[in-house]
Amino acid sequence: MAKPLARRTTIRAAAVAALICFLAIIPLLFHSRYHLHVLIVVFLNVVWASTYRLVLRTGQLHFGHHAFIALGAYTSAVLMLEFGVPILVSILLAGFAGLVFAILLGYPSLRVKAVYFAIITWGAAEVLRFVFMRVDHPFGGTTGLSGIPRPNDFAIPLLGITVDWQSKGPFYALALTLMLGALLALYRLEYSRFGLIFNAIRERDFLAQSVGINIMRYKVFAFAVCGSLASMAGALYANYVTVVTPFDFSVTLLILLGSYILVGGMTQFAGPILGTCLMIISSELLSGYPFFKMMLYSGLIIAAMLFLPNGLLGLPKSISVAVGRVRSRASPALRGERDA
Amino acid sequence: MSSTVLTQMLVNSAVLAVTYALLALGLTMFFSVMNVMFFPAGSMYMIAAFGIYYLFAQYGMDYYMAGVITIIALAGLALMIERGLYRPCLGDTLRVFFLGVGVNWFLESAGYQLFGLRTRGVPSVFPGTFTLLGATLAWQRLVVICIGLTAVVSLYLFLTRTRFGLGMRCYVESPEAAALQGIRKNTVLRMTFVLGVSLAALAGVVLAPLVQLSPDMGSPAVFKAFLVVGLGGLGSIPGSLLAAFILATLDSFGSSLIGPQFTWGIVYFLVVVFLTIRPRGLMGVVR
Repeated sequence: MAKPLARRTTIRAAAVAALICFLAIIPLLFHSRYHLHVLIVVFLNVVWASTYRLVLRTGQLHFGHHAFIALGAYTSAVLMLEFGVPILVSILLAGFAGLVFAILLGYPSLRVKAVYFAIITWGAAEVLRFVFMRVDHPFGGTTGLSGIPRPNDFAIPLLGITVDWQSKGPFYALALTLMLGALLALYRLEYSRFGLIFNAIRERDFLAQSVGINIMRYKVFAFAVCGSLASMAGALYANYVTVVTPFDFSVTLLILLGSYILVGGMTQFAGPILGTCLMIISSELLSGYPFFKMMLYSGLIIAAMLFLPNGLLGLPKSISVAVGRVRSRASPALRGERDA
Repeated sequence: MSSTVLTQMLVNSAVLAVTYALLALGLTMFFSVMNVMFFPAGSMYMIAAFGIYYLFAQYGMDYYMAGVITIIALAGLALMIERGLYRPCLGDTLRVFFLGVGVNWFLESAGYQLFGLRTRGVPSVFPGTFTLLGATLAWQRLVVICIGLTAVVSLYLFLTRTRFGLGMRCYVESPEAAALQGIRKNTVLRMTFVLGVSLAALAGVVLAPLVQLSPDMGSPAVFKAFLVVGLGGLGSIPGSLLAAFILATLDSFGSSLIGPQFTWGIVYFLVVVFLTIRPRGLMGVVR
């Protein structure tokens, strides 16, 4: 019934490659600005949700991921507006800022666990938001920063294409590249020795420590990688929408990211990707009904928590477990076997 | 600083302290029993305030009657939430955490749908002022302080003097030992939900005449209450009270001395630094 492992992996790799190729040529096929915009937003949210998931997977109840996004967005915006730094450099520097912030916040706060960590990270995010909101120069206070300059158009010599930054194309390419790069990094991390160590820390951190794992170093590492990637996506977001205000990065954003992860499935790598696509597309379809949209979103979170402990991707397994239970109840032979 | 202003600020901080304390005590009880934050307390607070708005200010019902009806109705809602949503998920911290986020958000958006975006006000129940040490103070504020103190004292007596209260504390200490003594887990959970939500609803009822009502009033209140609970030490009732008093004083004096827009940023910063150095808070116990 089950295909051989090697063949299954090949099929999966081919499917992923085909999907990536399709995503890469979308701007050439469709010229709808609106659809490209939705896709760019989805890509950036996938980065945020996936990085958030990795921190949660190390067992830390992180409740301040929006701080990294805000930090990246503001770093890039200030660099572009004040110093005229090129866009790619500003995104990389924003990632560096996220890295430094994650290490500075992570070393003291990762000593504590569970809700204590949630309170500290959330408080730190609020402090950062207050700084952005109350310091008028260079962060613009409550009105935030606007008019982040677009780079000049330039022509790629051999292909004869002009990169027009007013169109969605370049940002689509950047967002896609960033998302693929981030996902590749996270995937390699998860299916390596690091991933196993993260699992060990999540399940029983003192046991992990007892076999010689420096759990602090690994926790800070995961925190820093995720913070840095989220900051880079935040920087790209700021450059894309050209306006950042402190209200864009409130705790609502964090709750949205959490809901993407939980609806898609926390245990699987593809969970946040699926969840982000579904939730953002459904939100776009319902954009005419703001309150109804909020009720649907929160209803989905509640339903996912109740009925889908492992998200949509965990659904097949939950169904097969439930079917198996019904079957064993139906057949007396099996029941006898279980009771014995 | 003149004594008039000082008295006024002290009374203000006492009112704030009562607000924070009522919400934070409810959250503390939830935290002791479930080890998870209970976000819907914020929207319960909001719904209670709107209950007073509709029953008392719109339909002219007696204030006490309206308050009792609101609190009982919300306690009933809490029982339904406990049975239908929380009990199946208990034990999985992350699930319970985000379940609370979802329920709070749902009630808040339902509030937007039902009550609209317009902010409302409830007329003062105890109009008039009196003079204390040269400062003019509203009776309403004094009543809020008295009701809050009564609630805190009765909660303390309930937890230390009654069988049910002792059972709850025993459960918090060790669920297994409590089960061996015949204390039912589900009864403890139900009581926690009823008491915790009643405290949040009481906060909404007594504060409705003092604040602007809007569907988004709950979340900021509950987040501030979390800060109180965290600072006081998770699961510690005296710690929560002390922290509520400290934060209320900082809030009230900071707002008048350095301006409201800077106060909370500085308060958050101080609390985060304090909690990083001492994660168990002012009076928390290490479990």
